[in-house]
Amino acid sequence: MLKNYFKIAIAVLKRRKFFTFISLFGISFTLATLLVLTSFLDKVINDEYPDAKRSRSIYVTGIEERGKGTRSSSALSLGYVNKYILHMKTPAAIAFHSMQIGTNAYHNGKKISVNYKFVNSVFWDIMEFDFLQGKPFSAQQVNSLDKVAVISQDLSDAYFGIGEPAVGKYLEVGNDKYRISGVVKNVPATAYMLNGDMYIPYTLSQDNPNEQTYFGSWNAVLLARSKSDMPLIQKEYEDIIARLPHSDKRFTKTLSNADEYLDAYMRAGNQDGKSKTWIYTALGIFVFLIVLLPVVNLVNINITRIMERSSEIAVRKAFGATANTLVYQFIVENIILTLLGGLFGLLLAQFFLWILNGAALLTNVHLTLNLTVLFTGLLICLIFGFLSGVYPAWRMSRFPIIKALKA
Amino acid sequence: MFRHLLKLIWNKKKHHLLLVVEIFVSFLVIFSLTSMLVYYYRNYMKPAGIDDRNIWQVNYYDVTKPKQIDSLRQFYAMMYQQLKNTKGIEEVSFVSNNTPYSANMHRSSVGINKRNAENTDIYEGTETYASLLGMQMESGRWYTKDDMAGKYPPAVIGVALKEELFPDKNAEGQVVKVDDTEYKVVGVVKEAKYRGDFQESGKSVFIPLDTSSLKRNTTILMKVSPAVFNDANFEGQVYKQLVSWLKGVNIEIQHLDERHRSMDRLAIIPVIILLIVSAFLIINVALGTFGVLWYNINKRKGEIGLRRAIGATGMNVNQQLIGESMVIATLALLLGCFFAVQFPLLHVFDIASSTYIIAMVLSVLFIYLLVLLCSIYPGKQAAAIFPATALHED
Repeated sequence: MLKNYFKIAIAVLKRRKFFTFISLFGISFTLATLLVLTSFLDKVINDEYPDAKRSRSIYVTGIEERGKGTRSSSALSLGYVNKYILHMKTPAAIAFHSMQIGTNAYHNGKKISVNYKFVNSVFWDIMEFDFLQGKPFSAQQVNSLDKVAVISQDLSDAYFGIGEPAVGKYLEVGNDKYRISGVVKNVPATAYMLNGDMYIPYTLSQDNPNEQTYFGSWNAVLLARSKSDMPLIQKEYEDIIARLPHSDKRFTKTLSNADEYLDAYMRAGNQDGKSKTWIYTALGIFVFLIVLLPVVNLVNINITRIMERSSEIAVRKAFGATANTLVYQFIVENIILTLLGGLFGLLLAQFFLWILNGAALLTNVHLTLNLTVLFTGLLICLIFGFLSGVYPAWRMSRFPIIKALKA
Repeated sequence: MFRHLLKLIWNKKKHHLLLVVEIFVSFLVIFSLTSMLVYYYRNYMKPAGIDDRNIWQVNYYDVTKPKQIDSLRQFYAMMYQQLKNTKGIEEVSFVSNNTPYSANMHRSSVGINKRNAENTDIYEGTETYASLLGMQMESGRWYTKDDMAGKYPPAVIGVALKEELFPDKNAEGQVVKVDDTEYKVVGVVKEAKYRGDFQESGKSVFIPLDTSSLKRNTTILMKVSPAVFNDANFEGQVYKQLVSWLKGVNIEIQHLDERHRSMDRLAIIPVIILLIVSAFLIINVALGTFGVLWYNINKRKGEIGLRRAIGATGMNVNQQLIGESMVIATLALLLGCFFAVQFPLLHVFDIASSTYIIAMVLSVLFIYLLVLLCSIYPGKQAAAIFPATALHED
């Protein structure tokens, strides 16, 4: 039966080449756009470098205090991390790191931009960086204020030369020389919470670990023993915030969240939680518009094409085909068409990605079509084919036989 | 004629509904795109107001500064002299961190009596700020050291703020309130596009750094001579010099023109992506509309044949069919304009209403043109139908 439908579908496609072209053009382009979008989202959501234990990590990215007509919001202070977060009981391990700090290195008549981050030693246990050379610095090195650094491959290539060994050598930034303890694979710019060119012990930071303010430039990552422990950690953190004294008399309300990865990612520093809804809405509207026009277009064309086949349909009806059979047949035909369009769309998407990757809009972000993306593409194809086939098929099934046979 | 066309369309309303929806959605897409393009274009045509050539921005953090007010002022005066004496550095200004093309913002309401301009950008900088950035005065002058001795500290306001606060009088000599402190306006400066070529400049006020801003100051702007601007060795020397003056500090030197370029790129990339996507959507719609119109005409051969037989010329038939498509387009556009007009009415984004109106007119014209192009060929085909063959078929 399916084989028959397939044959009919191909025959119909061959009949009016112009309409076939329009349909395929619409489908393939829509699919290509959606595939590129999926590929980007996949990079953001599913690329687990360097935080491979993401599924059982909790992220605390900031704190906000509000009072009447006033509001302060920022990342955490080192004092706050020390006093409140490091004393939490439920997490198995607690890493913290500063946000990126920009500086320059001048070497061999060249200027190199360096973004560095202060981290504690647990950071290396929770994150799973790919060490191309050397190893991370230890807790002991952190405590003894050793000037050691782990750098990215990009920085190593720029400073020491491409492919040159860097471990044990010194890199000069500011007034200090740092001994390289390891070189790691570059972190893509999409992992904006964790990327950097250079990671150094947090004890070298000027921040006072006992400072009273809550506002600073630090983030914390809390590792749960298991997935089921995550609500416990979130509960404990909520309790801490509920009991937290206000840092100033002006303030009456404190907001800070212990988030799972995606929530933290989309929060982007906003403790209100509105940005997530906003991003989802914007994305939804974009996808809706991208899909709506081609679907309406395809429905239009499909109806036109069905009218052409009125005599075929009438004959089949006359010989006893039920409305359901016809609807089923038409939807299958349409899905075959969309899958064919999907195939072209795949090639088109590969081409778009090639251009996007070539343009290097985001550093170290290489977008690819992997299995997840392909599977999403297939799903989109099926939904697309179904949506654009249902209405025309319904119209077709109610076609008056006599009128059609008369023509 | 028009009523007749409307009747014809109404008789086949179910048939035309999808076409109306398609044109309506296309209009919305085109409208959002043209709004963006018109907005960008109008901003792009305004003068930049800033000369970004040969300027370095130095960010420095974690400096231990003197606590006493007098020694703090001395600290900065000395740093200024030392930098100014360095060969290759032409001008130096200490500024707040919301420098041109940066992501930092400091906004507040600026007012006089009961009149308040909300969301005004507040820029702080020493006396050399305007000359360093090449900003032009509209009237009055920039503040100098002598102004600091007066009853009120001095301020310079942008043209947009002047228009809002003092639409029909001179701004010079007026007193405005910025963040609870009163300032005396000494000049009006031409608007400078702080957020790149494609964004509006907004309202702005420029004030000198007071003691508390000096305490938390982290940013220096330097104009250097063109010969050393891109010289990494010279930059390295200045960097080392600063590190040794300001012990235990983190320093970053950025080039203002690079930041300008990357900010413009950030603004233009989404537009390019939207442009490509919309272009394909519109090609898609155009082909679809063309196909549907073409097919409809083939189906209406009998009707057209009859019209020809009772005396309509080919031209008449052509006009009728194009007219029909135009009426369909008009219906969709009326619906579209109803939604589009909500944007300027409700002030959804902080954009001038005229931008929306221009965008709306352009989009309407574009859609008409598109529908016209799509119906020319089918119309011509219909005009070529011979009554004899057409009537013979049925």
